[in-house]
Amino acid sequence: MTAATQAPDQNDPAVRAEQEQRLRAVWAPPSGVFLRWTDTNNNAVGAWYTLTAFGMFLFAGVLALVKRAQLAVPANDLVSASTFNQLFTLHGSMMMFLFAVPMFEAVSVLILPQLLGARDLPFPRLSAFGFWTFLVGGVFVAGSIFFDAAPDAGWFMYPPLATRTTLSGIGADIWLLGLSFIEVSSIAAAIELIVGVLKCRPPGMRLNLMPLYAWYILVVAVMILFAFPPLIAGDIMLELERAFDWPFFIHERGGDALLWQHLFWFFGHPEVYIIFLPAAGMVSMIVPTMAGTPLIGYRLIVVALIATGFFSFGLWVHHMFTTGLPALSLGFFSAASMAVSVPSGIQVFSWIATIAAGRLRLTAAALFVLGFLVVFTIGGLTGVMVAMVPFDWQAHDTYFVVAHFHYVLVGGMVFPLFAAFYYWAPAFSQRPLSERLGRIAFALIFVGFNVAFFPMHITGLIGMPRRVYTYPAGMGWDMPNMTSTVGAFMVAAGVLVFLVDLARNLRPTVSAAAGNVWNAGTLEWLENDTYAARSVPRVDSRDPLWTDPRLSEDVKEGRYYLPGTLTGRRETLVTSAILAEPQYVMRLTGPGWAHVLAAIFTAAFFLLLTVKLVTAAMICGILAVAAVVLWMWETDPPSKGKVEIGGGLRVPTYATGAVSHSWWAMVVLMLVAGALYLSYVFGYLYLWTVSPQHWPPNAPLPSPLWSTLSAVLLLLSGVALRLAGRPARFLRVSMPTLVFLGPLALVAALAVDVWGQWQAGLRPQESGYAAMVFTSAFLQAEIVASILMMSLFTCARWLTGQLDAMRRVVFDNLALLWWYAIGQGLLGLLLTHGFPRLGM
Amino acid sequence: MMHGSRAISVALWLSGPTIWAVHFILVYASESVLCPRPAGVAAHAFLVVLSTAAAIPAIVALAYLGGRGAFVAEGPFLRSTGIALSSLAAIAVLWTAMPSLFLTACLRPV
Repeated sequence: MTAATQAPDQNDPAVRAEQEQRLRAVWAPPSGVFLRWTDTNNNAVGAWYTLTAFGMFLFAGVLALVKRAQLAVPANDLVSASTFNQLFTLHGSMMMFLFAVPMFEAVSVLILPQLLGARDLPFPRLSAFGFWTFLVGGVFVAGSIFFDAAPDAGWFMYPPLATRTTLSGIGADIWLLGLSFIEVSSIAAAIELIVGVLKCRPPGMRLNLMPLYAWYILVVAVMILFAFPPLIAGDIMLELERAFDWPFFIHERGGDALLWQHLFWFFGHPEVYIIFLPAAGMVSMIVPTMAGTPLIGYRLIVVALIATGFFSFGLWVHHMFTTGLPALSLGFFSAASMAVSVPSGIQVFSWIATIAAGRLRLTAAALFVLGFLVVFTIGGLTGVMVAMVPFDWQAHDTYFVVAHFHYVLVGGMVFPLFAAFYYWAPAFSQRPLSERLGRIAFALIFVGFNVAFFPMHITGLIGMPRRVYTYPAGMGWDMPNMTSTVGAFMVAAGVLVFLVDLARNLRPTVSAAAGNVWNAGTLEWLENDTYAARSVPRVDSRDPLWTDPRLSEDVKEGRYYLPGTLTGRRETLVTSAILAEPQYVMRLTGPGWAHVLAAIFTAAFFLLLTVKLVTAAMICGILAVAAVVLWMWETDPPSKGKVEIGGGLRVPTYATGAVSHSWWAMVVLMLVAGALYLSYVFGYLYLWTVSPQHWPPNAPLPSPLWSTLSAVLLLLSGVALRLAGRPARFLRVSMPTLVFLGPLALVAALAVDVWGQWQAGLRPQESGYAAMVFTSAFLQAEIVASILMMSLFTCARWLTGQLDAMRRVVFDNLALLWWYAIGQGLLGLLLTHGFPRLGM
Repeated sequence: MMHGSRAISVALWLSGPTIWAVHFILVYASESVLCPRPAGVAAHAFLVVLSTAAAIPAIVALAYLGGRGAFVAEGPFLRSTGIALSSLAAIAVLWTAMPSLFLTACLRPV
């Protein structure tokens, strides 16, 4: 045992100075022109991430200005119809995928650890990997417009417009493959944030004491797990149809164009809440501070938040009211769309009540919050209007809808974001932002926004369709359009003032920040450095800085947990998910090249596929995998025994099983994989309800022998896994042998299944049914490929003596995914061989 | 360690909205399955009534179980929020089923 066994004396300044010096050395950022980009510290990565996402906002905003300039007067010819199509598609796609979602991830990476008194999030390299894929992918997608190659089929890419290569060129591929990054980085962020919120809270911070922002992030991250997989499933199908003619969306061949709309909006509607809720979380932090009183209705807000998370998945068809679905179905979705306004209303009333209960300081941040309340509420009210089916039939695809969703999204996300910039700047900058410039920016943005978007309600109601590049004079649309354009440029002027403020006053720092200028009560306002707070506090209230005036000083003097470094590496404390009891000290990965290279090669893989350079893409794919292996090789250090973390508490330095952060991450990843497969199952059953005539007996079905053989192979693989997992076996050669051979049984099971279908005469291009059958195998192949890599990795760890009965996280993670693969394989056999035999 | 009992209390805590989700998918998805079949309209109406009549008592029973038993260990927070979540879910289930009072299944308006 190498760890300190004696508690250090925190009253001794020499001890404190020595601790601080060691902490600083361990957390020192890499320096140098290139090396600095290998940093993984959340305050570096979070800042890059936030800045990049804001850059995307500016770029997409400029696209909008070009659009508004084109529409200012009738019959304008500033841009062509084709350019206009690219402008609105890219504006929508970028604002949603490259700004709104990444921005929430960015801000969370930046502030969540500090908010939770943690040293960093549990997977720092994963955050950095997410950032780098986002940066490369985002620049690629944004840059496509300069080559006249931007996507132009609208941000929701409906087939057949988006699937016919003659109608939509390379732009659709750029959308599909380019935005795959955002899916990758969002899921990476969701895993990071869920495990971060549940396992990295300070001791004593039970669920009911968590800052509301952490609650919002937890719910949103869980929503991402279930909302993004349907989009990924849809993307896979759309790309398979474009590239290989698998007819998922072609009605004559047993597909259905509406399947894409279902999958897209099953993602797309929760997406609106994925964007809005983090912003609402920011508001829930800003309002109590500015009003100087704890938030009223904490519990109700948590309830409202979870209810919104659930209900938002029951709204997707309200984007499809005009597609000819049965009236009763529309009724269900209309009802759910109205029901979701109840939890949203609860939150709005809580904020208003808190403002009424305290004394609101009218700072720039508070003004943006008030602006948010007004604008978002108007957007909510027009939302209830379009939730009514008959009204929606009138307003669908007109400027009324454009006005509605800008009120919701700009009101619900952009205003709170500006508020957050003004509110949190002092925690991360030497100087706060200027209140005077903030007020000017607010006035310009608030007035400009309403001038731009309020008239659009009218333009829509008098018949102007969205997405037209120009219009004839004399339709009554001239004046409102000109007004909207003037408003849009006012907003731009406001953003410009904000940029001037950033340039003049934002001086990013973690060690010499302006500090708690608002007298806020939560932990992110503790004195910070590169290693976050000096020690990890014990928390027993929601606003610890308000209830315990000595807390700041005690934390700074290292009188709480982890005052120094116990293992000589970057580390943080892991606590239990509900009660936040200390469980173990986790050692974090530090700066490195592997995750940066993994991100760049992953990006290159997708981008080269877009331009059909398949061989080069494959080489980059292999290099990406190699980089990931290199990155993983440095994780999972051996135990250093038990260590004293302060306050007489001794905890281990290694954990596996349900206690460990990596177990939680694997489980979350399996939920993503499960949601992806269930989205596929939905698609399979959906096509069956639409085109049952393409199903067996009108299509070939292999003999049950094939599926039985495949199932037996899956079960055999399970036996190998079960035997390999015995602790005693870890010392013997039979363990790596089983780990090597077991996954081969998974490969054989998949091969038998596919060969069975093939020899029966089924081809994926034949029908929607056939395409679906082979897609099941495609999804299984992805998981099996991951298991093969993980099994080789596990064997390599065993051979190099880095895997034993105690240090077994690598094996346990493999086992989790392996069990999952067996389950998914069996479900797939039941679906593709069993369901058609039901004879329904 | 996430103990079994703790996992159960979290499951009970979210039981209301979960039942809402199951009920919602059932009443919505069954329409397109039942419509092409003989007596599909009546079968769907029956299904809506039956599933709603089952969902409400199920929400109440699970909320009661949660409130009485496993939640207590985690303090009043999980109990009060669990009951509030279940109440919201019960309202949402009734609200979702309501269109069935005014519309029959399988009508295509456009």
